[in-house]
Amino acid sequence: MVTAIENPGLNLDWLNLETDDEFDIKTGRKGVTLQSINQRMAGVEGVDAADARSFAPRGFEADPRSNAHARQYRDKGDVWSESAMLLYEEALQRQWSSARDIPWDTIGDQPDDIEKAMCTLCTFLTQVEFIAGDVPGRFLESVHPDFFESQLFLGTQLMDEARHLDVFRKRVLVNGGGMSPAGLGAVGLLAIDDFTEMTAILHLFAEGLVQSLFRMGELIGQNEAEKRMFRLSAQDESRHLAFGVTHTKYTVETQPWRKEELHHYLDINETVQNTQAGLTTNPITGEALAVLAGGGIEYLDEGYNLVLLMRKKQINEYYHRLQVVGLGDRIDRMAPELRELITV
Amino acid sequence: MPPLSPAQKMRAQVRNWSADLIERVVQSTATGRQVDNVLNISIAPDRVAKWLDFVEEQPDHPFAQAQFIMFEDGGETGLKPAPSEDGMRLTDVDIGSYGVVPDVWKYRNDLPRGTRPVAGLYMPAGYAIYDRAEVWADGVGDLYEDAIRDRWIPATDLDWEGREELAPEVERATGQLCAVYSSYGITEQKVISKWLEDISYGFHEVKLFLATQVYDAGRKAEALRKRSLHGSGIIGKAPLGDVCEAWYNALTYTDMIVALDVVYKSYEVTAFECAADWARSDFDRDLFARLASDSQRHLEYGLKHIEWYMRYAERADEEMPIFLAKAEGGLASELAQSPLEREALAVLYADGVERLDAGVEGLRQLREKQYHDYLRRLSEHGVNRVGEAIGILGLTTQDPLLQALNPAALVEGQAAGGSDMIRDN
Repeated sequence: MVTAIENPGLNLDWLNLETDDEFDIKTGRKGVTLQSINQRMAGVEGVDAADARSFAPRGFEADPRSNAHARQYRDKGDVWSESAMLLYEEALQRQWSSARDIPWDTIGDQPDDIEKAMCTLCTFLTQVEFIAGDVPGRFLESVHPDFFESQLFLGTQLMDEARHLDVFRKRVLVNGGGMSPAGLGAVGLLAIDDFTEMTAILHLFAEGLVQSLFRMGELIGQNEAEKRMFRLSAQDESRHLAFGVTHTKYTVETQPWRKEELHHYLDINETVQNTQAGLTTNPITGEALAVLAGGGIEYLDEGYNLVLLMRKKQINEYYHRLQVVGLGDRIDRMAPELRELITV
Repeated sequence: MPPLSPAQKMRAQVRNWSADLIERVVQSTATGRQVDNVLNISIAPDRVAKWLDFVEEQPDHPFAQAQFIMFEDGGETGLKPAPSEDGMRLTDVDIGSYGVVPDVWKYRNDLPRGTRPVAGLYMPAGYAIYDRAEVWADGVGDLYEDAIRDRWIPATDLDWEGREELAPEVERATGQLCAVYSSYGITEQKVISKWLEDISYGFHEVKLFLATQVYDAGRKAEALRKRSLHGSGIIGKAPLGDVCEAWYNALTYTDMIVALDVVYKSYEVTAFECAADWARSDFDRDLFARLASDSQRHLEYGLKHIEWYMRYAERADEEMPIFLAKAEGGLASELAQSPLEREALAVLYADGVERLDAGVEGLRQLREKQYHDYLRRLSEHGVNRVGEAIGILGLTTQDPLLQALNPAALVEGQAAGGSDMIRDN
């Protein structure tokens, strides 16, 4: 321990803090990660509720004069995900650049209907993707710094969604097709008012549907640029879903009384999605997907069958997520149009 | 469907539709809107005929009635952007009408710039910022692309295994300094992200850039927390946070950007760039050089934004001095009342606790450089704060250990001096 130094104008009491010789950081294959520093006094284990409503992160000794901040969740179950650290580190490792990592020159000439269909899909995606940035953006403020890893992860989601807006806009503009008229979009998601409501609606449901679509990029992408664009975006969305799944699972396990509340969020959203904003169900993007999947307007029947397959995949993957988080009983109250697509 | 209109017939001829095909279309169950939309783009006549086969053979198929709204006019077509040296950047694709950023954005939904809403499918939302002057900065799209190009990963890009061992006091000072800036990073992330939902979609470049700042701020918080713990197993004390309150309590977007990305970032960039002088290991110099590069983008956005704001916002001349004074006040309060950063820097400049006078002089020189860099940067972007900046900032260039806010200093200290300082002991 260093002793206090007497010096005019200097206090240096922070030099007297006990260091921790037992703290042992292993530099593994993945470097020094958040998991590797999550230990002892700085660790999150055993911290079930946040302390003071300040901006001082976990492990800090707060300045007692600091302002209080009322807009913070203090219960760990309200914001925590057991995967937040892992997913944050993965997000940093897997960042990509729409400017450099997409082989834009592979797009080439394509029939007008195919080009316009892709531009329509991408107009929709550039429209809605950053809503999935605006909404989490609202909740970073509310994450208590004792659980800052969840905040850091949401920061990576904002970055990912920015890149998605960007890459889909570039696809719309890069080959002469241009913007299509824009439909309803996703501003309805801005009505979300709670962190766990956000993960249920945005991650479990809405982003989940988009991710299922991205994973079928091999089917709808007509060239390597489009296939890679969807592949890389799907990888990003997988992290967002994983965060949502692990957070909701944590909430259901630690706050079981919230199950009905979660069901109710989904009751509403399944209905809304099915009637208004669904990628595969709304007429504009639904038709575009069918043209892309079928290979032109003359193959709309084949395209339609493939869109139905996509929809089935979307809903089955959604149901799988529900089972993982402990809401498998939802099968009994799911919107009938969705339930009939479940094959498990 | 009814016979084709003269205009439709003309378009059909341009599309090389034969008279037989036109007649077949007229006799089919296809609707006028379908045909009109199909005529809107170039599809080979034999493919149109096959589509008619589908419509006629499966009239009850859900997509036999497909409207093809997607073929209706949306935005400009036919543009062929070319990539620049750094790949296909936003500025490369935003050409023609897509590159026109309106002074006032007129849509209240998430409509992308360059298109129009489908009739009946327009749902407004609660965005608050529709004036370009409130958010814009020249080159903001490139700052976004630069952030992605220059990305780095604390876990694996820093040489953790080769990090040099430091003397205990120097290690603790490094850790404490990292703790202070890590804590600021957490708050920076909160503040920037909460403004995103206010910014309307016509200015998507700004939203995208801010997303990179949110990401950068998280990375700063992460990297510095790791560094702090890597050295001693403890993090240390949290700063008072008055500077963060100035960001947090800003009442307008520009007010916030002035506090965070201009006033604070100017001080931060200078401090991080000077790590070449105060950091005591190659590892720490590398770490702070990376952070300085990130913060430089945020500062550049802030400075270019106030330049734009001063040029185009009504009453900017009256507002900017208030914004700056509030922000400087928050920073000054932190510098004067939260001793952690300055004490850690003094120990680092002294390379220990044996020569603290030299350390304090190093700190004083840093404060002087921060102050002058700040005034110079503002001046380069059209704002003169010489003789106007809040007094405490000037006083710290003479006495970096100035402890408390002294009301007299607020009015007297603008000449970077004065004798009314309150000090410890």
